[in-house]
Amino acid sequence: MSEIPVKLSYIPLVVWIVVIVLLAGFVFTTAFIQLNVKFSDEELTEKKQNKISEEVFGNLPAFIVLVVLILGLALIGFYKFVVGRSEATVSSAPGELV
Amino acid sequence: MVLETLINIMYYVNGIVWGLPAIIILLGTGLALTILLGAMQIRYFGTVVRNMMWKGRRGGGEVHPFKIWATVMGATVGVGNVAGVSTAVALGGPGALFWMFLTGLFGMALKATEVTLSMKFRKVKADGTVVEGGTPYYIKQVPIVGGILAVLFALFAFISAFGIGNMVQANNVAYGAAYLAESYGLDVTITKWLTGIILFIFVALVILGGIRRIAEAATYLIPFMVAWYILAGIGLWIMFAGNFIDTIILIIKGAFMPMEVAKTTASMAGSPEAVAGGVLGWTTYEAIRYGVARGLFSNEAGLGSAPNAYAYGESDHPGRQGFYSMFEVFMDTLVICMITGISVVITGAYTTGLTGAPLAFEAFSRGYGALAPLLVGVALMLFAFTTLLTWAWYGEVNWVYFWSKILKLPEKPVRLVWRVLWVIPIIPAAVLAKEYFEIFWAFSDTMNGLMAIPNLIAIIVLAPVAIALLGNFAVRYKELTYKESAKE
Repeated sequence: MSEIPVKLSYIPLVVWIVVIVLLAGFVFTTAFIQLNVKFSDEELTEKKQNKISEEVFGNLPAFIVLVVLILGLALIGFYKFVVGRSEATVSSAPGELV
Repeated sequence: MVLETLINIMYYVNGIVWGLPAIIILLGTGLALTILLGAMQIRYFGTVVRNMMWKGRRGGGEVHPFKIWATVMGATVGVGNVAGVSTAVALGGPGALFWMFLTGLFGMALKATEVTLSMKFRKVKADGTVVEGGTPYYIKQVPIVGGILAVLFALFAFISAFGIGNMVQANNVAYGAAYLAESYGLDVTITKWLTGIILFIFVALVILGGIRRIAEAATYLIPFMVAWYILAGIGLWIMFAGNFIDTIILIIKGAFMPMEVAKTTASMAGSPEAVAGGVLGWTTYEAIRYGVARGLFSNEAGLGSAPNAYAYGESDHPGRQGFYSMFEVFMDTLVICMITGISVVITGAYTTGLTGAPLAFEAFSRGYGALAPLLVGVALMLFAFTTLLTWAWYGEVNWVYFWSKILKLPEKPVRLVWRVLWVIPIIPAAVLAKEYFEIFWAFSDTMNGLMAIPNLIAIIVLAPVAIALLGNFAVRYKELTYKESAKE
């Protein structure tokens, strides 16, 4: 068993936020562009457009609430977890012996 | 009126936890961890495969790691690998498979992180017995909010276990048996009753033995069922080998461009939906939406289900189990899901307008004819049966956490009550139609989706620990594994 250094910084949290924002941007932009796609069947085109509008843009507030909820609670825990230390160690033992 | 409002709220929450918001967050967390781990699942893929041959022992744990891996595979590989993937292709087009593949790749990093945390924060006795282990035990390590999040997770987990882990699976096994019976001219009602009774007896016998007996059963069943399905799929690909290159091109094109095809008739599935004429079309958004969703729901990365079993494996390093879990996601999404998906596209069955299990049956019928119900039906039954066994354990870990660790009730009777409760709904779920349980299933499905929220918060906070441990294991793999073999 050895002691492994653990870097305690806000980098994982920042990476997570950046990735979520970029990914959400990608999905929402794709959905927005796809609203203009036309199929040879008009009914199919209309069905797809309605579905995308309802699912993507209708879900936007829920998405923001969910991200803020997860991020908020994670920030509270993370702050306490890293506060006052920049590095810690963790044992490579698979569990605590009791 | 009040009940109706509650049901509406439940369906609204279901739409969030299984809809676009959760998909973006789960996929994003997998991608973020892939970046933070330096694409470890790709760079160390050779180690991931070699790690599967590890002989076990040392460092505590109750069950051989391969057996634990098989146990978890029992839950991960489920009806979703057949019906779910077919639905993804039906709703998202062939391009959905590209996004599903990517989801599997990122899911490997996400699953490895949660599993490593469950190994790190378990408690073991000197004889190897695991005293505390599973998802709620690492969630409670999160400062300030961890305690309440762990309790919420445990509640969500054992409620969802009854619905999606038990009754849905019992119903699926009976559905598979009924499909087989119908195909070969046998009585469907008698078949369902017999299936329910046999299932009840087998599940009771297995789960009374706890994680050890579940793992034993999984070790015999999983390699067989996985090989059965993979061989059937590869056989089908060989029959349609001439379409293979076109299929791959179709998948890549469909991932980035809208697609339209003429609707064709189903050959054997005989669904009233499958009538020729008209067109089918998919947007790029739908390819992403359904490919990612079905991939995520199949490998369960980020939901926190699998760590409840991995924490009971023998191990010498927390990262080792993380590597086992990477192989689990690889087999589930990158192999088995692709077997179904490519089969549906390569045979042209995706143009029939069918969806779910009937679409998979149609694809296999085009190659195997009358043998298809046997090939897919048996696979579906096995997939559902093993899911039922493994979820019994996932539920038990969280049930014990809630009643014994939090409410301080004695552990032995609490476990016994769970095991008795677990077998009671099997026969009704096998015999009765889905409509009887619809609302409860939707409720448990919602609970299942909600499991991801406390789990993701814990993963984000504790990620530095998992990253350090996985990185350490990757570079020390040879030293850990071969030094130990030399000593033996």
